[in-house]
Amino acid sequence: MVDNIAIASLPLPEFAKVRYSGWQLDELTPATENTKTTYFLKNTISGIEVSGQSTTYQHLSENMIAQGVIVMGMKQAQMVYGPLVNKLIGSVISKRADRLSAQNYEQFNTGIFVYIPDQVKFDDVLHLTLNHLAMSGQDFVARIFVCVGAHAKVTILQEMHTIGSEKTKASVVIEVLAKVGAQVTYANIDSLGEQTTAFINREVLVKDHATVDWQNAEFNDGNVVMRVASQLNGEGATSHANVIGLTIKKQTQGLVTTVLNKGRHTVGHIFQRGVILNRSTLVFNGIGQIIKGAKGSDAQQESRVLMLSRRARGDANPLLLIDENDVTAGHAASVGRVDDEQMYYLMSRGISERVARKLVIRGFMGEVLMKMPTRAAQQKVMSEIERKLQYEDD
Amino acid sequence: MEIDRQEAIDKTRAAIAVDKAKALGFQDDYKAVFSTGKGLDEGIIRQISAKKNEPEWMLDYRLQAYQTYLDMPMHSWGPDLSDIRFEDIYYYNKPTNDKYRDWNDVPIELKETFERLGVPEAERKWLAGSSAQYESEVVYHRMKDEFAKTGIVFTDTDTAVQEYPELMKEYFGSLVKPTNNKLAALNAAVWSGGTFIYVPKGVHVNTPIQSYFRINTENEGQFERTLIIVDEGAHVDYVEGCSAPMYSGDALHAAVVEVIVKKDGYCRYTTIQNWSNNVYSLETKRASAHENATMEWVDGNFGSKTTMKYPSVYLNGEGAKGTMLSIAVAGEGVNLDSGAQMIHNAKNTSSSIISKSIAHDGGKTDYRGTVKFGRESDGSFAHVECDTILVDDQSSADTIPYNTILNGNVSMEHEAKVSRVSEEQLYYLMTRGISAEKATEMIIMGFIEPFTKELPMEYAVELNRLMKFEMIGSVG
Repeated sequence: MVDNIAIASLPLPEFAKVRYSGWQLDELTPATENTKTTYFLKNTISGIEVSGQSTTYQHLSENMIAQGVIVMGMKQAQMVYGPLVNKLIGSVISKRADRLSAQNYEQFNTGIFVYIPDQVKFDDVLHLTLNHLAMSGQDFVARIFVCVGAHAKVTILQEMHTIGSEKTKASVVIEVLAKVGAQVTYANIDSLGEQTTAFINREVLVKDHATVDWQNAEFNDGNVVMRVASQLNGEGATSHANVIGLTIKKQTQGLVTTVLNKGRHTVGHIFQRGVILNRSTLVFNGIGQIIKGAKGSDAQQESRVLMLSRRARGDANPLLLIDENDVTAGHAASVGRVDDEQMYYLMSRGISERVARKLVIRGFMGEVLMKMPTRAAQQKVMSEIERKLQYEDD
Repeated sequence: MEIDRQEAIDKTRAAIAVDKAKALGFQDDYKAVFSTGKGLDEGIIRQISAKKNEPEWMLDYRLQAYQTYLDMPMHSWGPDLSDIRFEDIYYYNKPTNDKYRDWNDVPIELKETFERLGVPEAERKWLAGSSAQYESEVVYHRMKDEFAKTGIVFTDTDTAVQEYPELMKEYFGSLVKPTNNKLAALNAAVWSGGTFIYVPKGVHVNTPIQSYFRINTENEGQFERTLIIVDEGAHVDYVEGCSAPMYSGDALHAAVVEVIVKKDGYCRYTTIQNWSNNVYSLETKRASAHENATMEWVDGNFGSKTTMKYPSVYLNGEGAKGTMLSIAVAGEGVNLDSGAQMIHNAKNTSSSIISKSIAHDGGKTDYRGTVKFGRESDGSFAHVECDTILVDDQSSADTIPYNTILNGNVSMEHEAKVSRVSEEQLYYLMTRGISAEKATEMIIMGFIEPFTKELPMEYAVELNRLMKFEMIGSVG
């Protein structure tokens, strides 16, 4: 039963300096579309593709299966592992965290469930692909839960796409639980369509001595508010969050990266890079928060924004909230143009201005690009950068 | 025999408390000649205006602002202000019937206060002019003749309403509108006193002009209004100091300051605030810098219960420059929430914000600032640096900067750091035979040096003394 009154009374999630209350992300009609088409995954890649409400690809390597790895469409997982799934969902992002997350909890009707048992290690990348079918004009409400067991080591590549071009909304909540000593690399490439207005909320709960590496590439073409958060609860927990965003035309993207240092000796680093074109708006909010008692912790952040248009808007707001003195905390932010010196160097080597510019911009976003876990993902990021840069004003 | 460390600290603190009470915390035995009593309504505003013999336009302005004040909500962000009991505040206390130009004429009780604070001595020695505000009204002001001859106007804002109505009508409230925030609206409704300075074209005042603000009554509200106009090519250096004794009832200081620096002009505005720990200091300070003009805020904040202060520079003319250099030192029960705003509205403008803060014994220092590059700000540059030292694990600090960029042809650098006193530096000094206390003091003095070296010498000495007062016993 949807508890409408309680949800409506919750506040919208905080995306400072982004005006999005008019996007009506709190009014969703979950889509019920099915399909048989497989869009992206093929050739025995390990992973799952969920399109609308259908699972359109599913394959795991022998190694994964033998170690007891579970990867399923969310609906199927709820049927097969009901008690476990229902216990985990909402354990990282509280069921009533904010109005949009609460609504997702009540309304999601698709998604992916991943369960990696303790000690499991695999080198191949686990692919999680979510396709929003925008053919009927209904909204996409999906939930992903990834549970990584103690001392397990995994690499996940998550992608999101819009198929179709109807004007729709999307609400995607992703919870990751990294148990004691787990090592998680979580890369994602979000490429939602121009007509998709989205709320994306990702959060990881990091236990003792666990490590999480976020690699976030936000290439959506529509209006998006996206949050990526790390709760460092355990002693010695570590999180590195690298976020890149590229905005074009008249779109607005509000990206919030939060790290909460709760445990002692926790390390939280935030690294954000943005490129802004045309009349678009890109807002980066970084929040590094150290709770009292989190002694020996480290909170660092860096935000850099490159403005490629006179009519664009860019914000870099790096916040530090520090309640403990036995820590190191810092941030740096900068905004600027394409580096003249680098351009001059490249052009003096006979490279055309246009190509030189692309190289400089690609280099600017190189950190996330290089850390993408597969060659295919690197190429995907590169081609998305190229595609978006084509919109640059002359 | 070992000395109990805690006991030693407690004793030092007690000694300082007494010393501080002597230095600033004394209550003056003085009765106001006129007071509107507690609370505020339209009648009181009319009373204030009538008492000051104000022209119609100013009364209208006050009444309109009062309406805005009633309609506006209080800040929803930042420190908690819900403890302020607006109904218990004395909005207007007139200390004397006259203003004095000769120190000998100032009533003996007021004179004692300011003598204790060192105001007349400072004036004799090194100031171009000085004024002193006690409660709601300026009781004393004087400009040295050599400067008065150049046509500089230095008076209190009430007198300016009477004597310079044209300038007042043009500039009063031109930068800080009552709608800016609830406390700016309150100030516009009940303002009294403050400084008015007009520096004519091309005139340079190389020695500082000083004002001193003193709150003395329990539950007093001080709402001074300062307006500085620096005409083309002119140059002025203004210094203000603030203090209040300790009472059980909280006092409210809600000032509004407006500074207009015209083409090629220069203004430096230095504030050293040392309120006792029961004063809410909620100020609105805004400056506008025209073509190639320079506006510098130098801001030192000690004490108060809660301070909210974010001076701004609107860089409205090509090549304008704005700077903010601030330190904040917060001890037990103190929340200093301050910062700066640099709004780049024209080509080739530049700004710099350097903020240093120290929180100790459970104090809280917040930096809250904005840098905005407008559409027309081609070729502009901004630099922001915020450094915080948390001396102990009871203290906390937030750094909340907003940077908004609407132009592709600008550059900005922003850096911030929060840490404790560097162990490496401590270790280095202690291996040289320096005690932990002394070493910490040296490190902290070094940390704030970029600030102290910008102050007039006498202020720098005073600041160092204040720092030592604040920090003794809280480190090591």
